[in-house]
Amino acid sequence: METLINGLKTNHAFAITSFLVLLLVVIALAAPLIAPYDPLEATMQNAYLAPSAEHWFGTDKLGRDNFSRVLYGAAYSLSSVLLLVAIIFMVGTTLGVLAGFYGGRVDVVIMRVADMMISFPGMILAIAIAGILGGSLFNAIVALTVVTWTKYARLARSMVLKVKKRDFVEAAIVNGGTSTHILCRHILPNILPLMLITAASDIGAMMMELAGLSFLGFGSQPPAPEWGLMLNEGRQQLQTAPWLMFFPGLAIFITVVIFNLWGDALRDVLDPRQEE
Amino acid sequence: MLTKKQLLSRIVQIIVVLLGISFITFALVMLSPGDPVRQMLAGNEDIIVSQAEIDALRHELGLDKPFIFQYLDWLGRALQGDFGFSYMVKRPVMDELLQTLPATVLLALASSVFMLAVAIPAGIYSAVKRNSVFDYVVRGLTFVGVSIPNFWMGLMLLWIFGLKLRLLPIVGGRVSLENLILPALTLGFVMAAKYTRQVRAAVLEELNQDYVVGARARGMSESYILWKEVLPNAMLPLITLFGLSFGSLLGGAAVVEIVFSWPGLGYLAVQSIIYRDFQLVQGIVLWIALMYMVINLIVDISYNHLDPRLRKAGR
Amino acid sequence: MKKLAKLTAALAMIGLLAFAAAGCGGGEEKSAAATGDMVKIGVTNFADSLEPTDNFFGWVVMRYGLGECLVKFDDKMNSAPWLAESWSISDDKLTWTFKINDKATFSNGNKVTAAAVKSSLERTFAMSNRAPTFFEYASITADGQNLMIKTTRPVPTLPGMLADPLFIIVDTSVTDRDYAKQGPICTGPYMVKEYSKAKAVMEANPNYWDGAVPFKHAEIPTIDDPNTRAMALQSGEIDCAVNIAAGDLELFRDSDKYNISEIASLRTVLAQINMNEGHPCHDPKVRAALISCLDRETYNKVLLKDTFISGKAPVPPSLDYGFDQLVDPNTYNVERAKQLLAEAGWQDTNGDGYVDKNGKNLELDFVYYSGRAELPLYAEATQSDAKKVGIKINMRNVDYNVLDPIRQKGDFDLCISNILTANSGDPEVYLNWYWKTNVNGSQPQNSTGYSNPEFDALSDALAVEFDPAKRRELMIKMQQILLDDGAALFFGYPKTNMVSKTTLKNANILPADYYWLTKDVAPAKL
Repeated sequence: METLINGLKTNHAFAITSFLVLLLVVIALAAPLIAPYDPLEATMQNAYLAPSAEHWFGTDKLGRDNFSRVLYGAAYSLSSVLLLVAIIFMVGTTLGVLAGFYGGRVDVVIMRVADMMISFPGMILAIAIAGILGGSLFNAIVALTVVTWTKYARLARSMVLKVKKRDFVEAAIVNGGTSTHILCRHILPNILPLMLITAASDIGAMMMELAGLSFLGFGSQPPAPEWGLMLNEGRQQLQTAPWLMFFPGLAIFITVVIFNLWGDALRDVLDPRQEE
Repeated sequence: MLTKKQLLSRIVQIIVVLLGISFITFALVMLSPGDPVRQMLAGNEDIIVSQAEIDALRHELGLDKPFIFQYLDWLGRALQGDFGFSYMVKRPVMDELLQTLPATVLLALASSVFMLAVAIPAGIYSAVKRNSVFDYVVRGLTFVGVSIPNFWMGLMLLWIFGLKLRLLPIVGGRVSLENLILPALTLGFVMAAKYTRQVRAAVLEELNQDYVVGARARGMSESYILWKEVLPNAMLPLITLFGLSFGSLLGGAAVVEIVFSWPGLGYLAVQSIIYRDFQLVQGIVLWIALMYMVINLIVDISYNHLDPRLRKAGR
Repeated sequence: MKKLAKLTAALAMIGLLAFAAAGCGGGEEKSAAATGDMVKIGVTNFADSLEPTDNFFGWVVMRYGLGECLVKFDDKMNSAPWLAESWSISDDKLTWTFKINDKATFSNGNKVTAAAVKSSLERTFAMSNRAPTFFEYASITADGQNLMIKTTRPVPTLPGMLADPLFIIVDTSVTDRDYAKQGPICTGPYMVKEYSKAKAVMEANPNYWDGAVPFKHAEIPTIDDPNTRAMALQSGEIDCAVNIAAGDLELFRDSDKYNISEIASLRTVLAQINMNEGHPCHDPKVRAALISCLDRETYNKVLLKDTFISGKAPVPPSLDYGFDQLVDPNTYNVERAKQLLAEAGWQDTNGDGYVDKNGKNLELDFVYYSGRAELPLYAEATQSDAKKVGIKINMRNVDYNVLDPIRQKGDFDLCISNILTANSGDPEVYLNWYWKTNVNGSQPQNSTGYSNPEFDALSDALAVEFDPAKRRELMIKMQQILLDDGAALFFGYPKTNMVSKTTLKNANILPADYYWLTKDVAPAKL
């Protein structure tokens, strides 16, 4: 925590990107206040209006205000991607720590399954899972969790193995500390920072994967104002209403840029050994 | 060199993984609510199909048997080299895979060539000229590359080059140079962004090593240090990474292939999932896993050959 | 700080470049190749085989100008001569006699005799279990160019049935062909050279029996994505496209460069309403309220940009079954809808915006699929309009291939389909499928619990009626009953279109869905 506050003071890039991330979150939370229209309210006579003073980003196929939808989409897309990353982080880290800490059979089983998942290009498997289970945001999250947890598990496991060899852990084991105590007191604090950095810098990538599944129709379903889904819908009007495709795509792009920059800056602050 | 024993255990491992994956895929398909039979009969044409027709066809295909029997049936035949029949394309799964292979390999190669041609020089140069204007531009571009959703970029390119400039064809579905350009560019750009960053980081790391400082102290020329010492060491770890990327490219880049209707494995995979053509889904999934693992194995073997330190260590 | 500024500058530059590239668009037009040598048509295609008796693949054989039937439908869906030049029915209404055109030949030069037709029809019945769902025959006999079909019971619409692509006439004397890939030997203006689901390459049939074939070569690439199809036509990669999407059609209007042939198709987009006990729509007032709260005219005129005709009755106006004289009691009227709900005891007591009764909100499950672009649009529009009178619509997007099981189990409140109403030129089958009383699974598509003895009686009368005028009257009465009962929600009727460059002529779409590349599609200058 101190490092973070210190980082905000000394590392400008980190300060600025943190501010931008905060801004995104504020926009997402304040969408109901900022948005000029209800994102779900259809004024059908106004379908497919081009961007204008009244509708900054134009209107969509049901006459809904595209600007409001993109704003609400921030809340929707951000919360789903954060949820996704949190789930992956917890599942992956837990399994990795268990494998590394207990070793033996637990390790073999978990790591064999992980090997199996990793010997496989993720997106294809995610598409297979989400596609086969049927399109929904929940299934998309399940699919991406299934293909991504191995990365966290491997990382956590290798770090646990390293930490276990350190003197203070070996001392605690010799002194007869309980497993829970050793895990919580010595191991987790030592591996969490790096795990969190990894999670933070994955937000951007996960956002794109989630949007990709929605884009294929395997993720969020209408009328949700989710960016990937909006792109999918807008794609059908590529020629006659390009704004429907342009703005949600831009929103994804900007958000991903911000999170990627922030992830990099966070790495600099928390883990200064890895230069740039 | 990998020893014979290591090689053997790797191969056994590949087989075990393939078995596991085939079972999981099979179970997934069975769990899914889709009905392949109806899809086979009427496609998406909204034609009224009678239940009797559906039941007859289901029986004919053996889809009315319990799950585990269907799996064992399939496995038994697969072990004899028969991967089943795809009802989506009306031909053996193996034939369809072999036919899709050239398109997939072509796209993988083209985007890799594009990626290497961009990433290696750009990465090295921006590492050497660190903090120059060039470096900033490159880093800016790579940031765009890793942050842009590839399907969005694909659609934009299609819109610009296909529709506005009319330079390249919009109709996909066939394998030709014109049709290759945009998907290769889209995939290549995103990959190039990632690899430029990797190359730059790897070169920077090597440049900070003691031996470089030592070489400079001994008065070696910068270019000698760069070409003879730094690059070979910096590139080595990237080979593994590249192997993984290439392996997954051979598995098809589904989203980009869909945007451009490029008839590769990824496109086929999505189609076969929508059609619930589980023999084909199964075949594709196994095929992708196999390619990915074999490429990894090859990379590991060549890595051992290339790395002088490992070679000397006699491992 | 400086670093970041430079980074931003770099990003901005890239953005500008992209815009500049987009801005200087509009390169020159590639000229079409429609000189009589080659025509290219962009279509959607679901068939991976050209075996006409397999699934519905016969449609493709006919659409691509390869195969022909004894009978075809004209632009009013009347049965017209094709390979058969005339037909008649015996006095006992069981034996039909078709006179086969004496000029007709297969593409290999063999003459199309009655015996050849008999053999082809018998093949169809042997290979397809769908054939008997049209009619069952007692015997088929051939005598020179006369073909006699004796049916087991009276079949008033037999000629129309024989116009179905399932009954494409093929030369059965040729046995060494792979029908799936090479196609059968048929009588159409073109012959297939190479066929895959992705693309058909064809050439003129040198032995075509009905005039000269306009193009030496024809190519039909499959472009399933409607936007891509539109772009391909704009860029000149194809000369003609079948079914340009709603949003894109305007790109081809007001232009000397394109012909648009657009007509109302034989399809109806409807949502079945589940009125079984335990579903809210069991109450006729709820059904009436639901139907009348929807502004269907706006859906079709604005959202779908006039590419659909507003819905009212079961049978689309393209078929002459009294569309204009039918009266819909549930036209758009929000106030009436609210009043009906109140009368039925639904009121918003907890102020959540949805009406409720006994502590439960009025919620309806709307099952739809996204294989056709208009379906999600109708569903979303319904959700939005229904909310305005306090009905909550829960949308459920399913895969097309699970739709039918859901439909048959009745696992929905509303279930949308885009359905062909006249497979054989007449909507009898369609009306029975959805609304005739389902007795122990006799009408598996009618899982909504709809049952009206009056309707059933008319349906039974229709089954044995041969006189077209009387058939029409019966079907008008049946439709009015359905409207009065609020039996289903009729959203609209798609128009279908064919857009061609002006270098082509006669690229016209017909109501029946299976005439695309015909012998009449020709270069404009000739």
